[in-house]
Amino acid sequence: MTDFMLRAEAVTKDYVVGRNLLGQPARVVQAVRNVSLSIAPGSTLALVGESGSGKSTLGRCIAGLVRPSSGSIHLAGHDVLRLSGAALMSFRRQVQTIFQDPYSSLNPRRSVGDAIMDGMVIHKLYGPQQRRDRMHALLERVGLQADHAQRFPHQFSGGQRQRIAIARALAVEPRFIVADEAVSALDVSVKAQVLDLLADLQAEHQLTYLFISHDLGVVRHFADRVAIMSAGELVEEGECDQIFEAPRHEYTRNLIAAVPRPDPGRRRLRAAPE
Amino acid sequence: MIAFLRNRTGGLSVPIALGFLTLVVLAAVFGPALGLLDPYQIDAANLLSSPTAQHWLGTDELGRDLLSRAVYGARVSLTVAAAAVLLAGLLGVTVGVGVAFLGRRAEAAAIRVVDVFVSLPEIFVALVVLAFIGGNLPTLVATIGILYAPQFARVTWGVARGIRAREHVLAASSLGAGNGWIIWHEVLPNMRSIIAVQASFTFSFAMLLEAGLSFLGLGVRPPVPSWGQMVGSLKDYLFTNPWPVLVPALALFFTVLAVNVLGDWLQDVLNPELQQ
Amino acid sequence: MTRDAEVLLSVKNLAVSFDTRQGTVAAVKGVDLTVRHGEVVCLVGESGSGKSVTGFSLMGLVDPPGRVTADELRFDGRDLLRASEREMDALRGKAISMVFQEPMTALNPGRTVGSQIAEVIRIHERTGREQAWKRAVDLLQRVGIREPAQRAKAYPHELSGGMRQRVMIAIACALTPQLIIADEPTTALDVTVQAQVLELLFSLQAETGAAVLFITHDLGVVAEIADRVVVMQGGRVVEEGGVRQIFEQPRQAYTQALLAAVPDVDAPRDRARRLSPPSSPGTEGTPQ
Repeated sequence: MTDFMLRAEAVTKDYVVGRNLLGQPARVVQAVRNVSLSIAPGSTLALVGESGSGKSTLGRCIAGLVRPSSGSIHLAGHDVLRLSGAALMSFRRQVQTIFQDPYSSLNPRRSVGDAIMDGMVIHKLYGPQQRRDRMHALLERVGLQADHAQRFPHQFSGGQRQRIAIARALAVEPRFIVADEAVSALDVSVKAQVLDLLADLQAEHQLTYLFISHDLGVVRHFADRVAIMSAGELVEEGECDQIFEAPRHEYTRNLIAAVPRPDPGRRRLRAAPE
Repeated sequence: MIAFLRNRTGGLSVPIALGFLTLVVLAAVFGPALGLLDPYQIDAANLLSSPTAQHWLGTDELGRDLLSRAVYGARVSLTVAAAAVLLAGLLGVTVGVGVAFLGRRAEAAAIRVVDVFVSLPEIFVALVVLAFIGGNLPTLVATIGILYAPQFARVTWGVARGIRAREHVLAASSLGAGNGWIIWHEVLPNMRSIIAVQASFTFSFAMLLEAGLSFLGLGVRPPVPSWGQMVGSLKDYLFTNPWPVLVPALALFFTVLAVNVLGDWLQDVLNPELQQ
Repeated sequence: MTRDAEVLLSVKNLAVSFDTRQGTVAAVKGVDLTVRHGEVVCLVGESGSGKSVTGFSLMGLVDPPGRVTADELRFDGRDLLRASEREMDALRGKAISMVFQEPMTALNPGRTVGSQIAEVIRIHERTGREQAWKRAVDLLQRVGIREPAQRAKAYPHELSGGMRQRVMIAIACALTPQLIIADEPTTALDVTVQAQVLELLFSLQAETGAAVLFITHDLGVVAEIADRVVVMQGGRVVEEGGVRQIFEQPRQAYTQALLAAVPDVDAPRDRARRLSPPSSPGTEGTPQ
């Protein structure tokens, strides 16, 4: 039995939709239903699903941003459902999230350098000069320039903003990163660069990733293990190549079959070209 | 630069308003140093006169020079309004943002309470308060300021709620930031334009409320001049000589108009930035 | 679909620029494009490539402060550059139609979907209200919406994303156009829904022999549907050719990099593989 980085058991998240006149819940939507997962340290688990599958909600429960209705989550040595005080601060250092929309996840009124240093300031890490040095080093590591620190988010493209978000996450030296559709909003070539960056960083810092995505091509390239979700439930889970080559569940099969292949020779929709 | 200052219909009302206000403020600030006639000096020989060589804007019912009274009145009116807006702003933003971070049930209750205060008619409350407590300047400023704080609170609460739901706020919490940090670094800086616009509108409301109260004799007490108070005392002589009452009335009118024009322009200029 | 088919749309040196407060922005800088009868041409590019603006300008949908110029813009023998607004109105929806990316904004949220389909029919043909409605219901059935008579009375927000896109396709195909311009029609859809919508669109295309100009950034979709591919970057055409040739023997560095950046879902996992060229990352330029 290996030492797991993440162990989630029977996680359920209900949302109340609409209340009747007496204020009692009228309808309950189960965004996540009884999902159990584990992730080994240093590896990448991709959480795959279409819209409404609950993958983002599960990701937020795991990151401690949303409270599940029931179940247990143990991550990086913390009981996520019982975090407070020092344990909460420690958790917030070790677990970081990179969000999908590069245009809303950065404070438009905060310079990029300040945003990256925020985590270090909040957790009282290092002295002022060291923070600056680390911030500049991080900017360069993610492919930007040190003198970009005084600039503001609107002066950067989407891909650059995601790099800034990655730098900010790394500043507090986390062990676990939830990438919530972190590359989905990026252009093809930029997506490729950011994925390569994430892969390099994982090796450099021994990071563990929960990679939430709907893009199966990217998932196959990037993940060690894959978990498929549909309508809040975990449909199938397993090693990457195995899931793609021999999916056991019909939903998975349909999902994989629906993905367009970048090869005209294997096209299925229209006749093959000459 | 001029293009930037054009209003929505392309007119030049903004630079004109800006110019006018600058003039008023400069006159108010440097007024006493301008070598004007003493605003309290009674010139019994020239009661209610139209402009003359000696009194450039004429005199009031006690023969006091209208130009200097208008300038000193500007000091009073502007200061009262500015101080009241400052108070309303500090109080309103604190309450508004604070309520937004109270937690769902407390927030719902608190905002209903704020709504009650918003619905109070300012002039009546002010009348009652000032009639009982008496009208010295600090009381006046405090009353007007507190009366406009609820509106400020409501507006800032709405905006703070919206900002609270943004992803960069969630990102800050996920970094370990507490509510204090979030309010100071993530929410307030993103509210600057809303606060500026709200302040400009509140300024004109405050000026008008002070003018109204002074007009009724409950605000600034004679012999200290304030535009509203001057209108109040000169209105009785409208048929003797209509000119004197026009001086403070028009001063008030144009100043409030200028502030409104600027407030509208500010909103147009700052809003697309918000939409970004 | 064959190389001998006649040219339907011929565009030479198309340029579109927008006058903004910060100066003139050239979105399209000299694009040549040809589409033959019944052919499926994919216009591929990333954001800022000018592909969508190109599509809009072909329909005459670029309004001031945008300016459209071209040496030639001919559709079915007609000169579109000199066409009046009335002539363009007669063409739009009938001979050339468009499918947009975001059905929630392209459809009128205040009208039932049936009435929107019927409206297109009645604008171009002298049909009675009842007749048009009946044809609308038939079209809804043809695009795979179940219980079409009932669904025709629904409002856009009552339908799912995939169904809304089917309605868009119904509107676009209502009058059997010769050219359908589709601007990222499946980008916002789940992959399974995308597959269904693409299947629908191209079965209609095969039936009617319409030509399709499909604008997308998704190379997988391009491989599935295109006869010819036109790759755009920075407002210009970087490379074009038959779909096989573009995927198997891309000539331009940009095309090659683009293809290398797309992971294939059938390819076994290779941890060492890099998706991007080793040159300096993070310098993808200033935002648009």
